[in-house]
Amino acid sequence: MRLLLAAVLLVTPLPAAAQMTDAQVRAEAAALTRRVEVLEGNRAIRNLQRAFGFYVDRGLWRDAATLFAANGTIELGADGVYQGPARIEEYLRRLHGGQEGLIYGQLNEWVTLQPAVVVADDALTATARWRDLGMLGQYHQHAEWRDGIYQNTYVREGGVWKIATLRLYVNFVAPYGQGWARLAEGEGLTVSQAARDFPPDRPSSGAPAPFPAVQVPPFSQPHPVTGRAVQ
Amino acid sequence: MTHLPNNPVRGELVEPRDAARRGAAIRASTSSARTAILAVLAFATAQPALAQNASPESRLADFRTRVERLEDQDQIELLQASYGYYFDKGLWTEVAQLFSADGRFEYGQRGVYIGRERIRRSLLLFGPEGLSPGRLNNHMQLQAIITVAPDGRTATARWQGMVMLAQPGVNGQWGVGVYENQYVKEAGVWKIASLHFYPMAQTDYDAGWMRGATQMDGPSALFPPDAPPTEVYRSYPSNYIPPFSYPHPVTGEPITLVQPRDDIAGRE
Repeated sequence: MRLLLAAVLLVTPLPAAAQMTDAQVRAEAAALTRRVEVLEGNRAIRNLQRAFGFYVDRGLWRDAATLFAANGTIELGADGVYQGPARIEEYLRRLHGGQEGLIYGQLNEWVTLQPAVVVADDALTATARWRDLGMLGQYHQHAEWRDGIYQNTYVREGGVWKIATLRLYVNFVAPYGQGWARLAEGEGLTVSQAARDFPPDRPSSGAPAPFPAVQVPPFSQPHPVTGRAVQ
Repeated sequence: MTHLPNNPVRGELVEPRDAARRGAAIRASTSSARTAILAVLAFATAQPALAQNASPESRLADFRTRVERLEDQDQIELLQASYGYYFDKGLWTEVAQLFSADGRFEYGQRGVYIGRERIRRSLLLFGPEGLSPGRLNNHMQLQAIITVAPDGRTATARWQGMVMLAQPGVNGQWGVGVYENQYVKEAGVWKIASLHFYPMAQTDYDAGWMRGATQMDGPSALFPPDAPPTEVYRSYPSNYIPPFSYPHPVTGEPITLVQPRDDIAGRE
């Protein structure tokens, strides 16, 4: 809305516009361009990360992996870092049983919520924090809730936003029946069998501390009011 | 089996200027258009001075369009969030008025109701007007991917829909599903042209999704729909994939789907 008002102000008061030099008009237009690009980037990043969730939900491993930049990385829970769309695709596939798509009775909802997106002023990079709510399981075998936080970075290449780094700090994976409050120390997160069979390119970036331990994934964004880094 | 989603955006070529400025938000779906866009992108990147030399009038027009497309996305988010808040509380009259005059409402396998008055009456199948005590009808509207057509007159969106249900004397239910909706802007106001909720899984609260899987209701005999379900499928433990209204945000390609086999629905 502010942008629109600014645009209207540029148009409506003709005498005022006449007083602006060409250079001033150009500078104002350049500033507006950057602001609009930041707003558009924010929208594009929401679509990008939400698309990742929607693709993984349905077992579309390649579509999920090609959302990443060429040297993009993914790190889920305690599994370590996989780099590049090809490695990411194979890791995601193995993490879910090794097949294309889901199998009969597999529930795999990666609900992706609460974006806190910060796009850089040049609209070439961005960071975002998201809440993960997972509904996972296999009919007649097991069912779990997952709680986690994504702390991700994005890059715009050739006008297209891509995922640069995705890290999901898994707080817990809890059996549906007993719920999260009965989890014992260390029960809430384990290294997946997929990561044992198909080792990551780099080990885990830090020892995960799942619930009931307290884990605060580092904030890459400053406090929106004080502007200071959050420790 | 390849699904080309029913999408008012699809098939329209994106103006190169639009594509360049919108980045990943809107991409053309044909490879020839993509090639053209990539060429324009490369050109625009190589020659930033070109845009600088456009007349102030054309630059203002460009800003106006870009800001309008951003405002469109906000309005659609508000529209769909309002749908959820009204639907939760059984405010069926308010829900029906969110639709365009020939709007379509399709929930699971119940079939399609067309037009505001037909939609309003069909909503009574979910309970009386106004939520009654002991009932819970939460339908969350989450994780939006909104795609506005370059001309700003139509749009599509996919949403994640978690569901929490209750009625007196029985267990609660958890549900989860996907919306694939279409919107239309009439006289500057965004309305729902088509709402299609695809329940993916529903389960008894105590049983959870390891032990419980509730199937969807079919068309009502009491108040039959105006059209049969547009897509016939079974929810969890099967795993149908609601077709995607938007192209892949990075490759720009439509999403190719292989649906699970279903001998009754006749899918190989």
